[in-house]
Amino acid sequence: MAAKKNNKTKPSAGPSPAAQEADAYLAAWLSGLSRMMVNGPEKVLPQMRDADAKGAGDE
Amino acid sequence: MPKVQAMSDGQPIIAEHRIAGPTPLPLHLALAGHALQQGVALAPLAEHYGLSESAPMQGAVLISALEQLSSMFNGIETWRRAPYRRSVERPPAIWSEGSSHLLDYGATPEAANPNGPPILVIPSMINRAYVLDLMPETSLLRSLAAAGYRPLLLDWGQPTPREQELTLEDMIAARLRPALAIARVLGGGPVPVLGYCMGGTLAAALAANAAQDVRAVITIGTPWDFEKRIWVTERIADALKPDGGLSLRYSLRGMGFALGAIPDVVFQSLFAQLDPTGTLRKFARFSEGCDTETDAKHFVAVEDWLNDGPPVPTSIAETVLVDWHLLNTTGSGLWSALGRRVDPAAISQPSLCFCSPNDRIAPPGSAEALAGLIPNAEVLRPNLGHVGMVVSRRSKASVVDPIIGFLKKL
Repeated sequence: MAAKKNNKTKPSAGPSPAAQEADAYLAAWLSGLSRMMVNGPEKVLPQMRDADAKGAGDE
Repeated sequence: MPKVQAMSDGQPIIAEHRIAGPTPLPLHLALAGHALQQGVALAPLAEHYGLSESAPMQGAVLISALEQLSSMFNGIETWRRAPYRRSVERPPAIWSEGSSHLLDYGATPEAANPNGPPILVIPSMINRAYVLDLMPETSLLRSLAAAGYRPLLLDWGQPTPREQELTLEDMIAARLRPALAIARVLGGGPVPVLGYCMGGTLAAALAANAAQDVRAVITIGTPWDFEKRIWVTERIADALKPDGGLSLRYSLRGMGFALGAIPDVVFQSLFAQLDPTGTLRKFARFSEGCDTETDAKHFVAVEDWLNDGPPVPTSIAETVLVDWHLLNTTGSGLWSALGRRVDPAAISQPSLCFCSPNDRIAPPGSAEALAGLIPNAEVLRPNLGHVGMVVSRRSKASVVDPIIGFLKKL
């Protein structure tokens, strides 16, 4: 992941906060996507239904 | 603990059986790429969906995704080059029929009593039986042998062209039933049967319909009620159900006609759908190195086994995928074996069922349905995955020891 690779290439600088945030987000997404296969998206992303409903209403 | 590289010798050896893996490689790559692409696209909404406290920079996410992909490729390459090859000596067969063998773990060096009480062990037909004896240090079968029992493993073997015509009922009548009879003779009476995955479904059939020969039944990760699916398999079933499974049935028959049997890649493709990010995450983690050399060997051994599935006779694949998985003949009481419908409520022997909350192949609802139907079945819920229940080092405490405790009480 980005944080570790940055560590290797720029040992003195360390991973940037943006790279750390991106890594953490991506890990959360991949893990969430995996859980979705078991429980369905509605339970894993509880806001998704609300957001979709709101989007549909806006249209 | 210091990290060590998974591949310690640096030799560019690519074992022949690993070249195309993980099977099917194009599907695993597509699933990984798709998952990462979705992650990049959703980054602006990360905060909204509760995935991050603030929206990450999309460019940084893209870089992270590409590096994750690169790590997966590195992990795959490391696995492919790993010099480890399973070299566990196969115990002698005390009986054979066609390519199936009844392997005597009482004859292994670990066995405390070569003539100990026999246990008939029934593996799945979808993957190789040696998962129950993958590595000596984590072997379920050798652990039972070391505890004084005599596990007799019915290794279904690799079906020959002639055997590709066999049905599940044929396998039960001509392989499983004689194996149980032999175990009974060796034990001087009814014996415990232990089944893993669909082997547990078959063990339940023996316990119900050959009750006089079965002293107790143990199931590990055994599906029964296929209506109790996880979300993704429910979606797949929704797509296949409208024609009563006919399209799937005829697809399998066509494949069987063309290829002789249903190749492993069909089952691996279905397993991949259960966790589309699984391959990406596990190989990316593997590329970072393992804590110990043993952990690395364990990873390689499990991957080798996963990619070493046998072709499955067409009729058996049809029974498992259409009749069981799609039409739920087991859970709805319509499945017959040994000439009678299999009714778990008729199982009066002591029973122990391992139902993992993390099992995606035999989800907890499906596995616990069997335990719920067997009167007085004991249920244990190890916090391990479907494969982890029989290969993990943690399985000693949460699976092997409880089995030994259960057997001692008989």
